[in-house]
Amino acid sequence: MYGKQRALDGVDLWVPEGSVFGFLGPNGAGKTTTLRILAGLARPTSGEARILGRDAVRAGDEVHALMGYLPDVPGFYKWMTAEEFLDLSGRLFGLSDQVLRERKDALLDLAGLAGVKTRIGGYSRGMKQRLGVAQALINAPRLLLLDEPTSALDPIGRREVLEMIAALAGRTTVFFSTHILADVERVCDTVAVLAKGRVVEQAGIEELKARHGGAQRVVIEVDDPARLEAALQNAAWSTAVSRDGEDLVVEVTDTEVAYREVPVMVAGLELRLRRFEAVEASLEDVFVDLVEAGVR
Amino acid sequence: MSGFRAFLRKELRETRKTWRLWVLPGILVFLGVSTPILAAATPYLLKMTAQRTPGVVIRFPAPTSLDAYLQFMGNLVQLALLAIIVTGAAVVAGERRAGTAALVLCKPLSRAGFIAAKAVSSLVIIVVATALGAVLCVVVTVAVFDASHISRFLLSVLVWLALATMFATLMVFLSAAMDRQAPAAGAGIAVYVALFVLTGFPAARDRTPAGLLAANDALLKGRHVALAAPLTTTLVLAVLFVGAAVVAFRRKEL
Repeated sequence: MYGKQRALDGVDLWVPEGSVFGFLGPNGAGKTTTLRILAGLARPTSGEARILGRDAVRAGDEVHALMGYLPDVPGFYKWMTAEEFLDLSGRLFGLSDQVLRERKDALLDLAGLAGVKTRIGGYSRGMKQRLGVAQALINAPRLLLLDEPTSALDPIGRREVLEMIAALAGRTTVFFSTHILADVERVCDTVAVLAKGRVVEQAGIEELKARHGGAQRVVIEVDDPARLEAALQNAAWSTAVSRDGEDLVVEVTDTEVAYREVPVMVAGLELRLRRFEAVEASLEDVFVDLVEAGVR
Repeated sequence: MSGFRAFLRKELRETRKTWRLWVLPGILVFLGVSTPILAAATPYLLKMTAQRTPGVVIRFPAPTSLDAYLQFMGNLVQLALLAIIVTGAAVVAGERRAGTAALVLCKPLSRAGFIAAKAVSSLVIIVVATALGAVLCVVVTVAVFDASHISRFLLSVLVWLALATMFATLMVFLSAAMDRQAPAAGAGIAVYVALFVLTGFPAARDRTPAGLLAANDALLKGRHVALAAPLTTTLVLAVLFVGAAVVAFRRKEL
């Protein structure tokens, strides 16, 4: 609870092992609160939070040993180098000297920070986020919690961090909160949408679009759209026809039928077909619809 | 107290690599060297001042090693304790605000381990800095004056260390309990002033840490001072402050 407002309410997620899971929601939906509770940094006002089959609040180190966590704004000791911070992180997990040395080398490579001797205080935001992902991996976690890891980065920094996350697919389970839908489409297999503290949907990205993407549509561009528009309005498989500039946007009952019939109609009317494609609902459309429905 | 050793190691390295090295150790080294020299030079400085004002004659007894030690202890009680309070206010609150606490406490480092490492590292810094300052003070005093009063001086320093320990743990508690360092420092200074006020009340002075604040002068001059009760109270309070810091910090969200 934040004051009288319920911050989270019955959040229940099943995250497939080895997947990159996108935890979507608008600002203030409760994403960061969820992650902080799972990481043991905040406590629910009531109820319990379970992760990896254990109580996230009471299990403490038993859970911490199995997971890695990167907060939205990671705080590093500015006087340390990346290697020194990884060393501290590894020692907190009780890693042996040899294992720690091997992991430090591998993770500095992965983060593109091998050989960087500058203190963290002099790092760019992108370097800090890459180090943040690296430190969260030092214990080879079963579950990696990343809180908006790309939200404050420039396009190059974003690409670098997303490439790091994508490289982890299949090796560990990545639970990744964000409101940047392009990032989700790029690296995630499965997503959950959070609105006002409640999970309003959880599915694979394609399944989500199919389930909530609305009517199937095709876009057609010909040299005389008015003649084709009249013909399309009489077609049994067409439910609605509208204009978007020179394009005709047709809602269809079956895309496959439209693929067969539209070229035949165009040829019969002796029109020139310039463009003909099926349009998928974007994740953004689905996200906005789900969040608005969840808020209502 | 998982993660304690690794985090304590980080704390001690941080002292060497950051401004922390220059605050308390710097102050005590400076005081250790300068206090005996200033004690020896004070009559000459006053004499020079008097010469500039015709008709003024200042008679000043010849300074001794006792004056040097008294001035050093006076500085410890004022300047060094205030430095412990001000720097100690940031010890936990600073890490919370910077987000560094969250990044280490999501790993197998318990909150009790975090607080214990903070308390131990604070004490290590205080003990090392005090030892360095005291040794330098003795060396310079022997060079400038003579080798008298050393054992009484060392006893005074030990008594001050007990008081400094209590203030260091008090600051760990206040810094853990409060969200920002300025209120923690303010509360620490309020406790310091309150103890000074208590030195004026014998019943309270003889049973509380206030007795240690007032003990230095008598100890150095070889007078009897009842230390058992104030020392016991001070050390018990130090332990209680560490416990209270752990309880307060466990309740804090990061």
